[in-house]
Amino acid sequence: MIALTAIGDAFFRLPLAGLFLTIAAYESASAIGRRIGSPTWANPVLLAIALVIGILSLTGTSYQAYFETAKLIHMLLGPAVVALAIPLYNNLLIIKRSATAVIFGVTLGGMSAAVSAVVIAWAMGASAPVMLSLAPKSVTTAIAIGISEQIGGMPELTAVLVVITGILGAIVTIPLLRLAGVDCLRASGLAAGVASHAIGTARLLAVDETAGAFAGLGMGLCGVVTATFMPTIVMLLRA
Amino acid sequence: MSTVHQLAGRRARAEGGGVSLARDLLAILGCQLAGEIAQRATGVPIPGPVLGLSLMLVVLILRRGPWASLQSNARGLLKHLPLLFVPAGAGVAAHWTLIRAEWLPITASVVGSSMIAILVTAFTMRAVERWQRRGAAPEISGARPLHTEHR
Repeated sequence: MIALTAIGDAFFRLPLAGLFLTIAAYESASAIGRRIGSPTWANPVLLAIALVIGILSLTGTSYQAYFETAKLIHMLLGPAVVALAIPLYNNLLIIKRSATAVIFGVTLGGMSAAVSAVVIAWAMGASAPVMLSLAPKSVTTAIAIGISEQIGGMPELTAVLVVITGILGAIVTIPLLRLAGVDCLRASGLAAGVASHAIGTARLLAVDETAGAFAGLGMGLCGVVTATFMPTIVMLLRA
Repeated sequence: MSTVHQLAGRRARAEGGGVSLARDLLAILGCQLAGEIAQRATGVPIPGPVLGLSLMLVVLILRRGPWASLQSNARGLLKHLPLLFVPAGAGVAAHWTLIRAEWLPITASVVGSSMIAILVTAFTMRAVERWQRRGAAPEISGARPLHTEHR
Protein backbone atom coordinates (compact mmCIF):
# COMPACT_ATOMS: atom_id res chain seq x y z
CA MET A 1 0.00 0.00 0.00
CA ILE A 2 2.80 2.40 0.90
CA ALA A 3 4.72 1.30 -2.20
CA LEU A 4 1.67 1.97 -4.39
CA THR A 5 1.27 5.44 -2.89
CA ALA A 6 4.94 6.19 -3.61
CA ILE A 7 4.63 4.98 -7.21
CA GLY A 8 1.43 6.99 -7.68
CA ASP A 9 3.06 10.07 -6.24
CA ALA A 10 6.04 9.77 -8.59
CA PHE A 11 3.83 8.89 -11.59
CA PHE A 12 1.48 11.85 -11.30
CA ARG A 13 4.44 14.24 -11.14
CA LEU A 14 5.14 13.32 -14.76
CA PRO A 15 3.62 15.57 -17.38
CA LEU A 16 0.80 13.82 -19.29
CA ALA A 17 0.50 11.04 -16.67
CA GLY A 18 -3.23 11.71 -16.39
CA LEU A 19 -3.53 11.81 -20.18
CA PHE A 20 -2.01 8.34 -20.40
CA LEU A 21 -4.15 6.99 -17.55
CA THR A 22 -7.34 8.42 -19.10
CA ILE A 23 -6.77 6.93 -22.54
CA ALA A 24 -5.59 3.61 -21.04
CA ALA A 25 -8.72 3.45 -18.85
CA TYR A 26 -10.97 4.30 -21.81
CA GLU A 27 -9.37 1.70 -24.09
CA SER A 28 -9.55 -0.94 -21.33
CA ALA A 29 -13.18 -0.03 -20.66
CA SER A 30 -14.02 -0.38 -24.36
CA ALA A 31 -12.22 -3.73 -24.54
CA ILE A 32 -13.99 -5.02 -21.41
CA GLY A 33 -17.32 -3.84 -22.83
CA ARG A 34 -16.73 -5.68 -26.11
CA ARG A 35 -15.58 -8.81 -24.26
CA ILE A 36 -18.84 -9.03 -22.31
CA GLY A 37 -20.95 -8.31 -25.39
CA SER A 38 -21.40 -4.52 -25.05
CA PRO A 39 -24.42 -4.53 -22.69
CA THR A 40 -25.96 -1.05 -22.36
CA TRP A 41 -25.06 -0.67 -18.68
CA ALA A 42 -21.37 -1.24 -19.44
CA ASN A 43 -21.07 2.29 -20.85
CA PRO A 44 -17.40 2.98 -21.70
CA VAL A 45 -17.48 6.42 -20.02
CA LEU A 46 -18.89 4.93 -16.81
CA LEU A 47 -16.38 2.05 -16.79
CA ALA A 48 -13.44 4.32 -17.63
CA ILE A 49 -14.39 6.78 -14.87
CA ALA A 50 -14.68 3.88 -12.40
CA LEU A 51 -11.22 2.63 -13.46
CA VAL A 52 -9.66 6.09 -13.06
CA ILE A 53 -11.29 6.63 -9.65
CA GLY A 54 -10.15 3.14 -8.57
CA ILE A 55 -6.54 3.80 -9.56
CA LEU A 56 -6.53 7.24 -7.95
CA SER A 57 -7.80 5.89 -4.63
CA LEU A 58 -5.45 2.88 -4.76
CA THR A 59 -2.42 5.12 -5.23
CA GLY A 60 -3.72 7.82 -2.89
CA THR A 61 -3.61 10.41 -5.67
CA SER A 62 -5.75 13.54 -5.37
CA TYR A 63 -8.23 14.40 -8.12
CA GLN A 64 -6.45 17.73 -8.61
CA ALA A 65 -3.10 16.01 -9.28
CA TYR A 66 -4.77 13.75 -11.85
CA PHE A 67 -6.77 16.52 -13.53
CA GLU A 68 -3.70 18.77 -13.90
CA THR A 69 -2.06 16.18 -16.17
CA ALA A 70 -5.29 15.06 -17.92
CA LYS A 71 -6.49 18.58 -18.78
CA LEU A 72 -5.49 18.24 -22.43
CA ILE A 73 -8.34 15.76 -23.04
CA HIS A 74 -10.82 17.89 -21.11
CA MET A 75 -9.87 20.92 -23.21
CA LEU A 76 -10.86 19.11 -26.41
CA LEU A 77 -14.53 19.22 -25.30
CA GLY A 78 -14.92 22.74 -26.73
CA PRO A 79 -13.58 21.90 -30.22
CA ALA A 80 -15.68 18.69 -30.18
CA VAL A 81 -18.85 20.73 -29.58
CA VAL A 82 -17.91 23.00 -32.51
CA ALA A 83 -17.29 19.89 -34.64
CA LEU A 84 -20.92 18.84 -34.02
CA ALA A 85 -21.71 21.43 -36.73
CA ILE A 86 -20.57 18.90 -39.32
CA PRO A 87 -23.13 16.11 -38.56
CA LEU A 88 -25.71 18.89 -38.12
CA TYR A 89 -24.90 20.24 -41.58
CA ASN A 90 -24.98 16.74 -43.10
CA ASN A 91 -28.51 16.29 -41.72
CA LEU A 92 -29.74 19.81 -42.36
CA LEU A 93 -32.49 18.76 -44.78
CA ILE A 94 -33.95 16.21 -42.36
CA ILE A 95 -33.69 18.73 -39.51
CA LYS A 96 -35.45 21.44 -41.55
CA ARG A 97 -38.34 19.10 -42.25
CA SER A 98 -38.65 18.30 -38.53
CA ALA A 99 -38.15 21.88 -37.35
CA THR A 100 -41.59 22.39 -35.75
CA ALA A 101 -41.52 19.01 -34.02
CA VAL A 102 -37.97 19.72 -32.76
CA ILE A 103 -38.95 23.09 -31.26
CA PHE A 104 -41.97 21.62 -29.44
CA GLY A 105 -39.98 18.58 -28.31
CA VAL A 106 -37.10 20.61 -26.92
CA THR A 107 -39.31 23.18 -25.18
CA LEU A 108 -41.62 20.65 -23.48
CA GLY A 109 -38.80 18.17 -22.84
CA GLY A 110 -36.44 20.75 -21.37
CA MET A 111 -39.12 22.21 -19.12
CA SER A 112 -40.28 18.79 -17.94
CA ALA A 113 -36.67 17.89 -17.08
CA ALA A 114 -36.27 20.94 -14.84
CA VAL A 115 -39.75 20.90 -13.28
CA SER A 116 -39.80 17.16 -12.57
CA ALA A 117 -36.28 17.29 -11.07
CA VAL A 118 -37.36 19.97 -8.58
CA VAL A 119 -40.76 18.40 -7.81
CA ILE A 120 -39.33 14.91 -7.16
CA ALA A 121 -36.53 16.32 -4.97
CA TRP A 122 -39.09 18.41 -3.04
CA ALA A 123 -41.40 15.41 -2.55
CA MET A 124 -38.47 13.36 -1.21
CA GLY A 125 -37.58 16.08 1.29
CA ALA A 126 -34.50 17.66 -0.30
CA SER A 127 -33.23 20.99 1.05
CA ALA A 128 -33.81 24.14 -1.01
CA PRO A 129 -30.19 24.58 -2.23
CA VAL A 130 -30.12 20.93 -3.39
CA MET A 131 -33.45 21.40 -5.22
CA LEU A 132 -32.11 24.48 -7.01
CA SER A 133 -28.85 22.69 -7.85
CA LEU A 134 -30.86 19.86 -9.45
CA ALA A 135 -32.99 22.13 -11.65
CA PRO A 136 -30.45 22.75 -14.47
CA LYS A 137 -28.80 19.30 -14.37
CA SER A 138 -29.91 18.25 -17.88
CA VAL A 139 -28.08 21.01 -19.75
CA THR A 140 -24.43 21.15 -20.65
CA THR A 141 -22.00 21.95 -17.76
CA ALA A 142 -21.09 25.54 -18.66
CA ILE A 143 -24.77 26.60 -18.91
CA ALA A 144 -25.86 24.55 -15.89
CA ILE A 145 -23.25 26.09 -13.58
CA GLY A 146 -24.24 29.59 -14.65
CA ILE A 147 -27.94 28.92 -14.02
CA SER A 148 -27.27 27.22 -10.68
CA GLU A 149 -25.34 30.27 -9.49
CA GLN A 150 -28.02 32.63 -10.70
CA ILE A 151 -30.96 30.85 -9.03
CA GLY A 152 -29.20 30.16 -5.72
CA GLY A 153 -28.06 26.55 -6.09
CA MET A 154 -24.59 25.11 -5.42
CA PRO A 155 -22.55 25.27 -8.66
CA GLU A 156 -20.08 22.52 -7.59
CA LEU A 157 -22.96 20.15 -6.81
CA THR A 158 -24.63 21.02 -10.14
CA ALA A 159 -21.39 20.22 -12.01
CA VAL A 160 -21.34 16.71 -10.49
CA LEU A 161 -25.08 16.19 -11.12
CA VAL A 162 -24.66 17.19 -14.77
CA VAL A 163 -22.07 14.43 -15.32
CA ILE A 164 -24.17 11.81 -13.49
CA THR A 165 -27.28 12.81 -15.47
CA GLY A 166 -25.32 12.60 -18.72
CA ILE A 167 -24.05 9.09 -18.04
CA LEU A 168 -27.50 7.95 -16.92
CA GLY A 169 -29.11 9.37 -20.06
CA ALA A 170 -26.48 7.74 -22.28
CA ILE A 171 -27.33 4.39 -20.70
CA VAL A 172 -31.14 4.55 -20.48
CA THR A 173 -32.32 6.56 -23.52
CA ILE A 174 -32.26 3.78 -26.12
CA PRO A 175 -33.65 0.92 -23.94
CA LEU A 176 -36.29 3.21 -22.36
CA LEU A 177 -37.58 4.45 -25.71
CA ARG A 178 -37.60 0.95 -27.11
CA LEU A 179 -39.72 -0.15 -24.13
CA ALA A 180 -42.02 2.81 -24.81
CA GLY A 181 -42.32 1.78 -28.45
CA VAL A 182 -40.48 4.76 -29.97
CA ASP A 183 -38.21 3.46 -32.71
CA CYS A 184 -37.37 6.71 -34.45
CA LEU A 185 -33.73 7.81 -34.74
CA ARG A 186 -34.58 11.50 -34.80
CA ALA A 187 -36.83 11.41 -31.72
CA SER A 188 -34.35 9.23 -29.79
CA GLY A 189 -31.50 11.56 -30.65
CA LEU A 190 -33.40 14.69 -29.67
CA ALA A 191 -34.48 13.08 -26.37
CA ALA A 192 -30.91 12.06 -25.51
CA GLY A 193 -29.63 15.57 -26.23
CA VAL A 194 -32.38 17.27 -24.19
CA ALA A 195 -32.14 14.93 -21.18
CA SER A 196 -28.41 14.25 -21.10
CA HIS A 197 -26.54 16.92 -23.10
CA ALA A 198 -23.20 15.99 -24.73
CA ILE A 199 -22.69 12.63 -22.97
CA GLY A 200 -26.04 11.44 -24.33
CA THR A 201 -25.10 12.95 -27.70
CA ALA A 202 -21.84 10.98 -27.72
CA ARG A 203 -23.77 7.74 -27.18
CA LEU A 204 -26.30 8.40 -29.96
CA LEU A 205 -23.57 9.57 -32.34
CA ALA A 206 -21.97 6.14 -31.92
CA VAL A 207 -25.26 4.54 -33.04
CA ASP A 208 -26.08 6.74 -36.03
CA GLU A 209 -25.03 10.11 -37.47
CA THR A 210 -28.59 11.37 -37.92
CA ALA A 211 -29.47 10.42 -34.33
CA GLY A 212 -26.27 12.17 -33.21
CA ALA A 213 -27.14 15.29 -35.20
CA PHE A 214 -30.57 15.51 -33.54
CA ALA A 215 -28.93 14.92 -30.15
CA GLY A 216 -26.50 17.78 -30.75
CA LEU A 217 -29.43 19.96 -31.81
CA GLY A 218 -31.41 18.95 -28.70
CA MET A 219 -28.43 19.70 -26.46
CA GLY A 220 -27.81 23.15 -27.94
CA LEU A 221 -31.46 24.27 -28.11
CA CYS A 222 -32.29 22.87 -24.66
CA GLY A 223 -29.35 24.82 -23.22
CA VAL A 224 -30.61 28.03 -24.81
CA VAL A 225 -34.25 27.44 -23.76
CA THR A 226 -33.30 26.53 -20.18
CA ALA A 227 -30.87 29.45 -19.82
CA THR A 228 -33.54 31.85 -21.08
CA PHE A 229 -36.52 30.63 -19.09
CA MET A 230 -35.29 29.12 -15.85
CA PRO A 231 -34.02 32.26 -14.06
CA THR A 232 -37.27 34.03 -14.99
CA ILE A 233 -39.45 31.16 -13.71
CA VAL A 234 -37.54 30.91 -10.43
CA MET A 235 -37.87 34.68 -9.97
CA LEU A 236 -41.64 34.50 -10.57
CA LEU A 237 -41.99 31.58 -8.11
CA ARG A 238 -40.13 33.53 -5.44
CA ALA A 239 -42.31 36.62 -5.83
CA MET B 1 16.51 17.04 -60.75
CA SER B 2 13.52 18.33 -58.83
CA THR B 3 14.02 21.14 -56.42
CA VAL B 4 12.94 20.95 -52.80
CA HIS B 5 10.06 23.29 -53.63
CA GLN B 6 8.81 21.08 -56.41
CA LEU B 7 8.93 18.03 -54.13
CA ALA B 8 7.04 19.87 -51.39
CA GLY B 9 4.42 20.99 -53.88
CA ARG B 10 4.00 17.47 -55.19
CA ARG B 11 3.57 16.13 -51.66
CA ALA B 12 0.96 18.77 -50.82
CA ARG B 13 -1.06 17.83 -53.90
CA ALA B 14 -0.80 14.14 -52.99
CA GLU B 15 -2.24 14.94 -49.54
CA GLY B 16 -5.51 16.11 -51.03
CA GLY B 17 -5.39 19.61 -52.43
CA GLY B 18 -3.33 21.00 -49.58
CA VAL B 19 -6.22 20.99 -47.08
CA SER B 20 -4.74 19.57 -43.92
CA LEU B 21 -5.34 18.67 -40.31
CA ALA B 22 -3.78 22.00 -39.37
CA ARG B 23 -6.30 23.91 -41.46
CA ASP B 24 -9.22 21.86 -40.06
CA LEU B 25 -8.05 22.57 -36.52
CA LEU B 26 -7.67 26.24 -37.39
CA ALA B 27 -11.27 26.37 -38.65
CA ILE B 28 -12.64 24.59 -35.56
CA LEU B 29 -10.55 26.53 -33.03
CA GLY B 30 -11.25 29.77 -34.87
CA CYS B 31 -15.01 29.22 -34.56
CA GLN B 32 -14.67 28.35 -30.88
CA LEU B 33 -12.51 31.41 -30.23
CA ALA B 34 -14.98 33.66 -32.06
CA GLY B 35 -17.75 32.09 -29.96
CA GLU B 36 -15.83 32.73 -26.72
CA ILE B 37 -15.21 36.35 -27.74
CA ALA B 38 -18.88 36.85 -28.68
CA GLN B 39 -19.95 35.32 -25.35
CA ARG B 40 -17.70 37.65 -23.35
CA ALA B 41 -18.62 40.69 -25.41
CA THR B 42 -22.40 40.23 -25.17
CA GLY B 43 -22.68 38.37 -21.85
CA VAL B 44 -25.27 35.93 -23.25
CA PRO B 45 -25.63 32.87 -20.94
CA ILE B 46 -24.64 30.49 -23.79
CA PRO B 47 -21.16 28.91 -23.68
CA GLY B 48 -18.57 29.95 -26.28
CA PRO B 49 -18.31 26.48 -27.88
CA VAL B 50 -22.09 26.39 -28.51
CA LEU B 51 -21.90 29.82 -30.18
CA GLY B 52 -18.88 28.46 -32.11
CA LEU B 53 -21.00 25.52 -33.27
CA SER B 54 -23.62 27.94 -34.63
CA LEU B 55 -20.93 29.98 -36.39
CA MET B 56 -19.39 26.85 -37.92
CA LEU B 57 -22.84 25.79 -39.13
CA VAL B 58 -23.35 29.20 -40.79
CA VAL B 59 -19.93 28.89 -42.45
CA LEU B 60 -20.78 25.39 -43.72
CA ILE B 61 -24.12 26.58 -45.11
CA LEU B 62 -22.42 29.52 -46.90
CA ARG B 63 -19.71 27.24 -48.33
CA ARG B 64 -22.30 24.56 -49.20
CA GLY B 65 -20.62 21.92 -47.07
CA PRO B 66 -17.35 21.01 -45.37
CA TRP B 67 -14.23 20.16 -47.37
CA ALA B 68 -13.26 16.49 -47.38
CA SER B 69 -10.56 16.53 -44.71
CA LEU B 70 -12.72 18.60 -42.32
CA GLN B 71 -15.52 16.08 -42.78
CA SER B 72 -13.27 13.16 -41.88
CA ASN B 73 -11.31 14.88 -39.09
CA ALA B 74 -14.51 16.10 -37.42
CA ARG B 75 -15.88 12.59 -37.61
CA GLY B 76 -12.63 11.28 -36.07
CA LEU B 77 -12.83 13.75 -33.18
CA LEU B 78 -16.52 13.04 -32.53
CA LYS B 79 -15.93 9.29 -32.62
CA HIS B 80 -13.96 9.71 -29.40
CA LEU B 81 -16.35 12.21 -27.81
CA PRO B 82 -17.11 9.86 -24.85
CA LEU B 83 -13.40 9.76 -23.96
CA LEU B 84 -13.37 13.53 -23.46
CA PHE B 85 -15.78 13.27 -20.50
CA VAL B 86 -13.59 10.96 -18.42
CA PRO B 87 -11.44 13.65 -16.67
CA ALA B 88 -14.53 15.67 -15.64
CA GLY B 89 -16.42 12.50 -14.71
CA ALA B 90 -13.70 11.32 -12.34
CA GLY B 91 -14.42 14.51 -10.36
CA VAL B 92 -17.64 12.90 -9.13
CA ALA B 93 -15.58 10.99 -6.55
CA ALA B 94 -13.89 14.17 -5.32
CA HIS B 95 -17.30 15.77 -4.68
CA TRP B 96 -18.97 12.71 -3.18
CA THR B 97 -19.54 14.43 0.18
CA LEU B 98 -21.87 16.95 -1.52
CA ILE B 99 -24.16 14.15 -2.64
CA ARG B 100 -23.92 11.82 0.38
CA ALA B 101 -25.98 13.97 2.76
CA GLU B 102 -29.09 13.91 0.54
CA TRP B 103 -28.34 10.97 -1.74
CA LEU B 104 -31.88 9.56 -1.77
CA PRO B 105 -33.79 12.62 -3.03
CA ILE B 106 -30.91 13.37 -5.43
CA THR B 107 -30.93 9.86 -6.91
CA ALA B 108 -34.73 9.80 -7.21
CA SER B 109 -34.75 13.23 -8.83
CA VAL B 110 -31.97 12.52 -11.35
CA VAL B 111 -33.35 9.12 -12.39
CA GLY B 112 -37.02 10.16 -12.40
CA SER B 113 -36.63 13.47 -14.19
CA SER B 114 -34.23 12.04 -16.80
CA MET B 115 -36.76 9.36 -17.74
CA ILE B 116 -39.59 11.92 -17.82
CA ALA B 117 -37.53 14.28 -20.02
CA ILE B 118 -36.60 11.51 -22.46
CA LEU B 119 -40.21 10.31 -22.79
CA VAL B 120 -41.74 13.82 -23.02
CA THR B 121 -39.24 14.93 -25.70
CA ALA B 122 -39.60 11.82 -27.86
CA PHE B 123 -43.41 11.60 -27.61
CA THR B 124 -43.88 15.34 -28.22
CA MET B 125 -41.72 15.18 -31.32
CA ARG B 126 -43.57 12.13 -32.60
CA ALA B 127 -47.00 13.61 -31.84
CA VAL B 128 -46.21 16.87 -33.67
CA GLU B 129 -44.86 14.98 -36.71
CA ARG B 130 -47.95 12.76 -36.84
CA TRP B 131 -50.19 15.82 -36.57
CA GLN B 132 -48.26 17.50 -39.40
CA ARG B 133 -48.43 14.43 -41.59
CA ARG B 134 -52.22 14.32 -41.25
CA GLY B 135 -52.20 17.38 -43.50
CA ALA B 136 -50.87 15.12 -46.29
CA ALA B 137 -47.30 16.37 -45.90
CA PRO B 138 -44.67 14.24 -47.65
CA GLU B 139 -43.23 11.29 -45.76
CA ILE B 140 -40.25 12.31 -43.64
CA SER B 141 -37.11 10.56 -44.76
CA GLY B 142 -34.52 9.36 -42.28
CA ALA B 143 -37.19 7.67 -40.19
CA ARG B 144 -35.41 4.37 -40.01
CA PRO B 145 -36.06 2.04 -37.07
CA LEU B 146 -33.43 2.42 -34.35
CA HIS B 147 -32.88 -1.25 -33.63
CA THR B 148 -31.49 -1.91 -37.08
CA GLU B 149 -28.79 0.69 -36.61
CA HIS B 150 -26.53 -1.05 -34.08
CA ARG B 151 -22.98 -1.37 -35.15
